[in-house]
Amino acid sequence: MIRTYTLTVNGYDRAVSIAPGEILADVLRDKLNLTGTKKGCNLGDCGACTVLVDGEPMNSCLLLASQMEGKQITTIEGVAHNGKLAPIQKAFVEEGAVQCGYCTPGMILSSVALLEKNPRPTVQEIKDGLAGNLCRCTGYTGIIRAVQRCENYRDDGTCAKKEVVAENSRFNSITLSMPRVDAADKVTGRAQYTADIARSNMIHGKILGSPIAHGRIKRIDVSKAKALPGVLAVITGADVPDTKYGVSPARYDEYVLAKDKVLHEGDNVAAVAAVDERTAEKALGLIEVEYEELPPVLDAMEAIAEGAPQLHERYKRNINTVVEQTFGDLEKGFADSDHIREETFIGNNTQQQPLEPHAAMAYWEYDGTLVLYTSTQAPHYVQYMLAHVLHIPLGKIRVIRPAVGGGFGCKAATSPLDLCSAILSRITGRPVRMTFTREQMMHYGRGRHKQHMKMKLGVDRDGKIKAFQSEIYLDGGAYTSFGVATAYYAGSMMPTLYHIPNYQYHGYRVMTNKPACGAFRGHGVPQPRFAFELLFNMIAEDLGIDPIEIRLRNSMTPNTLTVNDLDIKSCELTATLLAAREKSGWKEKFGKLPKGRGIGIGSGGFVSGAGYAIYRGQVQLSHEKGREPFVKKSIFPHANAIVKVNEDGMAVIVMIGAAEIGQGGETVMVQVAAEELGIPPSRIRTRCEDSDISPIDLGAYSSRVTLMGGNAVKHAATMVVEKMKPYAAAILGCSEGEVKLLRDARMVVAGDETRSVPWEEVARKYFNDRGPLVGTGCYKPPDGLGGDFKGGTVGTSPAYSFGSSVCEVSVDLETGKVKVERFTDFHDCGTPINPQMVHGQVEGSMVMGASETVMEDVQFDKMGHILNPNLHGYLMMTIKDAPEVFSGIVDSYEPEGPFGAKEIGEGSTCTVLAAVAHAIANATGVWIKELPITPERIMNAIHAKQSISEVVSTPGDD
Amino acid sequence: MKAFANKNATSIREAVSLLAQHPGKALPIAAGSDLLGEMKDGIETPEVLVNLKTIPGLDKIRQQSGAVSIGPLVPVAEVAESQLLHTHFPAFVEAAAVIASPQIRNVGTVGGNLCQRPRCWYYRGPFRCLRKGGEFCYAPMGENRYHAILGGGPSFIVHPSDLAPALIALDAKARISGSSGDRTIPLEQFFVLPTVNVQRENILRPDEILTEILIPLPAPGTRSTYWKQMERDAWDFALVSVAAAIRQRDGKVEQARIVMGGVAPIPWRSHEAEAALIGRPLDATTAAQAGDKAMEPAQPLRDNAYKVALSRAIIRGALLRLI
Repeated sequence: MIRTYTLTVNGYDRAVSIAPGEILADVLRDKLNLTGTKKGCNLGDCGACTVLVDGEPMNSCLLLASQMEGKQITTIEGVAHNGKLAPIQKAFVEEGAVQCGYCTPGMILSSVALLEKNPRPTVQEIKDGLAGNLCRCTGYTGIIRAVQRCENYRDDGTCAKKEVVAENSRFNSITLSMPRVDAADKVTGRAQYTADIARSNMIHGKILGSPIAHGRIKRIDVSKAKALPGVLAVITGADVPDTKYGVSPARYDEYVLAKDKVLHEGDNVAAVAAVDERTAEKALGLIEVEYEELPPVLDAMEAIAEGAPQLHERYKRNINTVVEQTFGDLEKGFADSDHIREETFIGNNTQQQPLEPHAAMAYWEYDGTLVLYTSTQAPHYVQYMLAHVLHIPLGKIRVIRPAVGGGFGCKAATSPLDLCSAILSRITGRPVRMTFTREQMMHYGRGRHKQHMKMKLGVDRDGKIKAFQSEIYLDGGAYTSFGVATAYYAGSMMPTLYHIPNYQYHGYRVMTNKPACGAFRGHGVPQPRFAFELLFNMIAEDLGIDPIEIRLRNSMTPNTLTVNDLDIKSCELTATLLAAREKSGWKEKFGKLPKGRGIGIGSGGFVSGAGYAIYRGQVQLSHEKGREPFVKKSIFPHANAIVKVNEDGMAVIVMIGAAEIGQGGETVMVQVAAEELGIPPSRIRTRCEDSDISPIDLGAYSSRVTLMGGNAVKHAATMVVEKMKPYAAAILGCSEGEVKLLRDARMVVAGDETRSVPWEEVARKYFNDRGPLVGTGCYKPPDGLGGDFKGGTVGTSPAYSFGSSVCEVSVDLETGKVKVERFTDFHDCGTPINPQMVHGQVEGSMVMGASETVMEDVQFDKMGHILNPNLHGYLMMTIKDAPEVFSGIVDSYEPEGPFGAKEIGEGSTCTVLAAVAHAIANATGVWIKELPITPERIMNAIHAKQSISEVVSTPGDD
Repeated sequence: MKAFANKNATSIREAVSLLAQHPGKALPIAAGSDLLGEMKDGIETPEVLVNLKTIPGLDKIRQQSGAVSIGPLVPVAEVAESQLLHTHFPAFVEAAAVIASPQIRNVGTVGGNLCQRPRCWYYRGPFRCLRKGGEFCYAPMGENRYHAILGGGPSFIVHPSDLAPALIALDAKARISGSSGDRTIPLEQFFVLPTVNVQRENILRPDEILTEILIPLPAPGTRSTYWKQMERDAWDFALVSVAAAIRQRDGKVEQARIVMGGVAPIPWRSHEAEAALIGRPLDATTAAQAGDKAMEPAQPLRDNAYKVALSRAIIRGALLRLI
């Protein structure tokens, strides 16, 4: 059956042994080691595996390798020649078309094919040409720009456009839109993601998921699977530790593999390791599991009813978290209100869907050290959780985070792959690699909680907020994961945008037999923010006040302690509203557009890093010690950096465990270090991926990397400069106090800049005399953040971002089809370290948020099966759906941030849902309060309204 | 994916005889855009795949007297870019241009598009539904927002093809070759309702393959178009689609063929809509009446009544394009 075929790949003939069923993508990756071809869905839905076959783009996951003889196959590795980037690759690098990089190879190959036929495509032609390549990060904006401007880039890699300089002349490397430091690797296929990494003697693991949503495991028989040749280990719940894990320490409720009950479809039941993926897959089919089926409960509101099926014994009536908070005098606030409106809103269960599925690869060193490569946002928490579950010291675990193809929150927790690969490797003594399929990713879940939100808002006749009451039921799925924090965030962030004097929040997180929900970009906030902003717009309409005007009248001001004790320092929400109003032409459009066209506004914002770490206490083994009492300060620094100068003074290595997941964290670290050290960013490299090398940073969640990681790097760089000063003084013949650091890699005598010494010479002198030139730095959030009430810590942060988005849509009133046309967004992100990357975050947020608003939803049947566990059923916006985005940054300076910077990536998502929903209401005349706002819902709402008006209208009205 | 043997057929005769040699165990494969996905999901588990791509001559578009012949292996992208086809059969070209993604259009074939299996989430998921030999169709009592509003029962799938409605509106014929010989039938008769065969969407026997599509050149005065309503603007199956081919003379509709996709288990020809147009001028009133008439027999399920209104709207919209 297996035969040798000759495949012509990137111009060379390669002889490969291929079995009839082998897919081209696997042959390229596994047999020819061309791992630039990415697998995102394995069903032709995402385009990450695109290759050119005789010049035409095709999904290599849907091609039989045995049918490829005689065809010219081009992979991403064949696009650059002799180490020189092709013009399209250079354009992707320079124009901000790359973020996580996982869609990039396919996107570039589709672009190559398009440009070959049509060197100057219009935007519409670009959209047609790239319609089969999904991107979850960029919002496609940078990609369109790169293809449009490709002709400016020459074969030698140079560009006709002018060189980029810092936008703020006070700086050299801050406010500089330099290309990402990892962009060149990502456009060439060199960037290695976890599933691209192989070790000698490596084997493959797979997890068996439950076929039912709720049941008891009566019997598991793995004997047939174990007997299959090539199978090296099969484990079940009986073979894994009894220690439960999770995210919130108070609610660890997951086992590595189910011990007794399965709580959702795809819940982890068993795992196998085998010589190859096929054998592992086959072995899964040989595991016999007998279940006692239990009735599933799938709706949060049904799950809390008496007599509903119970998931966990400890969560009575399936209520996992209760938040009951009241600030100020609610009753008086409503009594003082001139107008009160109460509405109910329902959100949707959306998932992050990064293009890269989760992956992990584990092996054990001879000395008992566990090495884990994993696609994670939070390497330290993975390390912590492995120590907790496997009962080994944290110091014996080395976590390596290769390139990560996007996360948006679904890679913030320790995954079953991390744990199972470690356990299977310990049993077999061999490196074990595991990946999720897209379907498994969706069963693993950790997406956005579907929230049922009842909100009541009272205002005076000028629209000033007097009281706000919010009651939310969050559908949490089967496990806690991040959910405790989600339930708190859904309430705590509400008073950050507007002055709310009296506020009550009741939040209930409910367990259902569905995949666990977790932290998805904007963690808990986008849906309540959508609901609040929409309610605010309804009230503005009731009172005849312009919706932007009503926001301006309530807008948060700098240096405010909110009613729930959040300490807001810099705040330019008002500036974002004014700028968005001006730039979008709001006054000429709102209320003046023809039927079927609409404009809407939403504001939002987020924390720049959580004020407290997820676990309390010190960095140490947690299962052996009781929980430490809570104190209102950080026990250990949340971000830690080492800046090491190379012995020749010509390069600097920044070491920090901050996770680069596509957002650009490493580039930010380089720019911060460059500015502080006074040298160009090109002399700086990062080593962020390896816990053996880089000190702890808590990870890429809660938008913390720029502010916290940036501060740690800045402090480490300051230490380096301080160490250099005496040596500079000695060379320059001046006092230490007279040494001045210039931004062009020189140190001079203050007041006489002709007396200067190159930076590297000072660094060399230091090394010659003292050995390694190293600085260390760390960052702890300020002590005492948050109020003295239960949950007072969630929502605390050193700084808050703010923004406002105006959205314009057109709606076909006959078909209910929404076209999200345009966003005009202004954000207060403090000082933008890299404006192009800030815009990239905003562009991505707008498109992701719009996509969530109009089309995304995980759909379940009555038994808890996911009906759309793939990327042609779970719809997200393609390049053809994506709106135009204008992203603007308002002047702002955050005293807590490095060079005044704060977050952008999550706050920018929070504005979007309401802006889109408002624009749709404006276009159609109906408020739709349930997400997603599909053609079905629009048509039903329009028809319901029509039939009501038919009923109430009297004959002869016309 | 389960292991299988690959057999490269070098002629139609060889292909059908290979299929006949492995009754119930062999499937024909062209590009495999749909079949490979089904095999990865374990829905189809053939022991033998008969590769049709190795048969020479089946990938040509040929103009003949009075008709254009389309080989079943012609890639969809070639249809979408064909000037010849665009001149005579706009509905066909417009339908091809909105199928799936550029990558899939480059690979997927005309024959494959016509023979693709339903996208129903019960059929594609881990459910032993009627279409997979099970006891019942999950849709009527289940999540049915995408299911049939016409011609449903006992199975409520909708036919996913874009090319089929267009080709039926254009009165295309299909040539079928099998081990017992060839036959040519109107493409309209190629598809079968679940009342006829609940496990298949067409009349192909296990040893038969589609070997040619013939589209008659339209009579003067004929115009055609295809409107596909999707939830997103690319790589999506139709919520509802409509192909319309109208011949007008002296300001009146002389002939009309209106065929819908995404509404029924087969491409759904609406004789009611056609009758509403014949002998009358094509205008906003008659276009709307055609839409209304087409939906008179509709029997929506719990969650898909919106498709009725949607169908009315796009039938009207498509017809208005042809004025």
